[in-house]
Amino acid sequence: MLITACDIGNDDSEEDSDPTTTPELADQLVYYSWEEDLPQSVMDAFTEETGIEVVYLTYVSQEEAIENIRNGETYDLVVMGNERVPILSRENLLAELDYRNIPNSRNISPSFRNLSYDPESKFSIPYSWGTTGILVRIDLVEEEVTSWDVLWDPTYTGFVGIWDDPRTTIGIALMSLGYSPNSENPAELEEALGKLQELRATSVFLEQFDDYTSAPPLIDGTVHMAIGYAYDVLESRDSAQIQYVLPEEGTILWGDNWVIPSNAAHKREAELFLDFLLRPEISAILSEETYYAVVNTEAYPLIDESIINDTVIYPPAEDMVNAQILLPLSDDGKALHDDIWARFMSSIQEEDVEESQE
Amino acid sequence: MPNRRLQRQLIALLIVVTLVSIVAVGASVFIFVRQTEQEAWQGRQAEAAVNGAQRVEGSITQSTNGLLGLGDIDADLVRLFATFSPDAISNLIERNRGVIELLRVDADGEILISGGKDEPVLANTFTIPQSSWFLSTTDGERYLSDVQLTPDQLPYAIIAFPVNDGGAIAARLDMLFIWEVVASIQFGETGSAYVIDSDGNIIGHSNVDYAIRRENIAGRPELEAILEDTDRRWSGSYENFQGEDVVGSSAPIEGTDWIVVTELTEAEAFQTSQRAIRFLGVGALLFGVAVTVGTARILNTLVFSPVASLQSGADRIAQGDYTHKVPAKREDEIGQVAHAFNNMMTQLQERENQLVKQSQDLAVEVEERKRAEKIANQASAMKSAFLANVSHELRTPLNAIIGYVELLLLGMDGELTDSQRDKLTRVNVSSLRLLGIINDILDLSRIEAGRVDLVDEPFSPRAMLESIHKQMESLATEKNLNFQVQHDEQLPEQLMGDQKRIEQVVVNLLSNAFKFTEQGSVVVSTRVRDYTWQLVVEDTGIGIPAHVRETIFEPFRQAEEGSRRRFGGTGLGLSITRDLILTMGGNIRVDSNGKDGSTFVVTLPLNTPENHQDEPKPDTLAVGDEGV
Repeated sequence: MLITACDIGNDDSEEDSDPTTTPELADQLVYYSWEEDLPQSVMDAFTEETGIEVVYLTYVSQEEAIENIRNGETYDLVVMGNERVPILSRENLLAELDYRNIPNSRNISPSFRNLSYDPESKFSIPYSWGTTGILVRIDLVEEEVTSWDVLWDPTYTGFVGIWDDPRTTIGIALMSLGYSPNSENPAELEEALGKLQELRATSVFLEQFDDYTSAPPLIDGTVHMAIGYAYDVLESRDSAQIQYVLPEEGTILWGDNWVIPSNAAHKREAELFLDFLLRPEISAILSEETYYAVVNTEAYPLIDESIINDTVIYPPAEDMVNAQILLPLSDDGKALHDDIWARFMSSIQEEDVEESQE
Repeated sequence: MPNRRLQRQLIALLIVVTLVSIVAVGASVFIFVRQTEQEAWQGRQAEAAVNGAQRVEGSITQSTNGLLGLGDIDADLVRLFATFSPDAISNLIERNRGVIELLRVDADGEILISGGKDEPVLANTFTIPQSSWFLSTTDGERYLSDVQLTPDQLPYAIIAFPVNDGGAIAARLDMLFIWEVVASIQFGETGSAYVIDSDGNIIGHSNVDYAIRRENIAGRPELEAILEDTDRRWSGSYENFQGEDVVGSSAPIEGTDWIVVTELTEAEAFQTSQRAIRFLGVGALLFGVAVTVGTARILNTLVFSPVASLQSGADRIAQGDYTHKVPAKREDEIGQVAHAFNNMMTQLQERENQLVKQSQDLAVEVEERKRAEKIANQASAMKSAFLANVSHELRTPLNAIIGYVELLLLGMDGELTDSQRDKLTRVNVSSLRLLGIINDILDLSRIEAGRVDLVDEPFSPRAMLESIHKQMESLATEKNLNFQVQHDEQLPEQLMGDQKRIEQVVVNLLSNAFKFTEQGSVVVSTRVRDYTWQLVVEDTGIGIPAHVRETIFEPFRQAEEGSRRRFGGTGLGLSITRDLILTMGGNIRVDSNGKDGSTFVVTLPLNTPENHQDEPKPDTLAVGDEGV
């Protein structure tokens, strides 16, 4: 009576027989993302196949992108971080995806479906993801680093690099105390503030060396350990002995997603492009060219072994057990976090003043 | 060819009325059948939908109930199971057909135990604490996901239950199993069912492709009505995904936000009414033909045939046959009409007979009158001829008498004595008078015999009257009378006519006037009246009494018997005058009150040389009784 599983699984990749294909497609779509976030070869392949040109617009920060979307600028496909998806969806700025046009969405790893920032995956398709960890100069740090606690170790006073990034840094303080990085509990946040002020004693801000990466101070030994990402590892590990540690309390997962703004002029074309990007062979190219982990499990066998087996990019599952995702804060929670960060920063300035007086 | 318009109109009207009635009755019956049928099907379908919803719900419950025991076991104990009895969970999964994968997590989302029939999916995720299923159960709610597909297109749904220790039990439900349940919901020949979620995605369909393609009811307003209905109970007609016209009903699946939709093709749903309309159509057609033909027959017998025989009756009358009788045996309106028609024909026949008789009588009379007229005319002609001959025969000897008497008076045979001269003079006078009488009679008879030849020449009426005035002035002087001629200024200088005869008329009238006027005046004047001109002779004589005015123009008449002796004259003058005037196309009348004199007015046609050619001979003015 019923078709068996084998029958259903027969066609594997080509999704050209789309039931809702409309005869007329626009000749372009507007893609909005970080600079150099999407390989040109992938865009060219799509244009060659469909005749749709991908117009690539860039933003410097996702806050800027959100502001432009709010102001009614039109984009067809926007790359947006996990914690920013619900900000847009709450304001009805995102279009619901028509999964009839994105059959390759079945290739998405179960780990990235129906997550808290988009509980029914109505508005976002995950693109890339990664971890937040500690880069350690193992030649300069003798002990084996396993925990965020090492950042507070007096042994390394002055040699710990942190970012002027409130959510990540407060999150790390909260996690070192055993709390959620998304905590909005005032008592927990007060406690975290205490931890941050302690951290001030041992750490330096990495922005004073480089705006984007912690690699240079690590390479020249200015810092012995730093909060960082896979990208920093790739930048530094050929020049220095770097170990990338995902602390046992849990890493902070970051993720970028594709969303379609509700005022998109070419939603259908954007969905067509999404389906293209979710083809295993295309996802594999994305991972190889950007050194990001992609969510397309079907692409994994196709990805170059040096990348798919690189635990910095694709960390083993056991390291991910306590992984945390940064979630958007409520208005009250955001005020609390802002307050904690402001007080943390002012205490630094006071110290600087004291130092200069001494 | 008789005109059958009325018959055609009546038949057409009959057909229209019959058709309208049949259509109305047919439509009512059809609508009634259709409604009854629809209610029945809606009821049965709604029942099927509820039944299907219960079966799906039952199969989910049945599949998962056995798993719930896992939540009653302490977390540490579960960990022990996982270590020492890994088969236990496999057995649990095997016993529940709809479950592919099962896991128990603690309050942190850490997996305590897991197992499955195929590659682990849930157990492999490192985002359990962020997953919707886990976050729902930590809020204490049961969770059921939408339908997910593996890369191999195996459909599953995640179902999760909260556990007392803050953890959860999660399982992957095999949607193929659920679909089997859905597919087993069948009713009628074409009835089928499928399941949609609260977003309208098809999550279970007997045609698996619909679910795998993530088909959605979006853009189908009839079906979207289901989602707008808060209790998810809906029914209506629409075109389904296969493009068939169907009637559908929906029912919610308890414990989920899934909805079962049942469908049945309209062709099947409305089988009875389709059959009814076919039956009704044929029946109505036959009935309509029967009614029309039957009524036409009856109408023909009762109305059109009688009317046709009336018509043919009327036709035969028109051709003159009054003996034909229309059949009038019936007592109804048509019979009455036939009776009336026959009565009319009888009366027409009588009238015709009378007419024929009258016309025969008239013909006889006309014939008689013609003969009488002929005789009279012959007599008159003979009289005139006689008179003319007599006059002629009389004139010859008379002229001889007058001649010889005048010779004697001239003294051809010697001197005459006074006595002889006196006697001869008397003879001469009498002879001359006799000759005048004979001349008058000759004139009159000529005129009456139509032997007067009128000339038509130009003449001057003024000169004519002046000449007459000169001739007759002596008569006025004799009696010391005032004699005048007056002319109308408008009278043309020249007129056409027979001057001699007109002169004769005027002289005659003036002679009479002088004869009967002892004092006063005699005036002759002219007047122009439209297309005529008048000669008026007025005198102040004795006048003419009213009772003789009608007869003075008859021959041998004078106003009074006594007057002839007193005034002399033959009494033929006015008669001749009148006959002349009539012959010239004019007329004469006399006005007199019997004592203040008489006025004779002669009216003649005004013919001038200028208009003479165009004018027909004006004989129409003569309106006088000719007399014999």
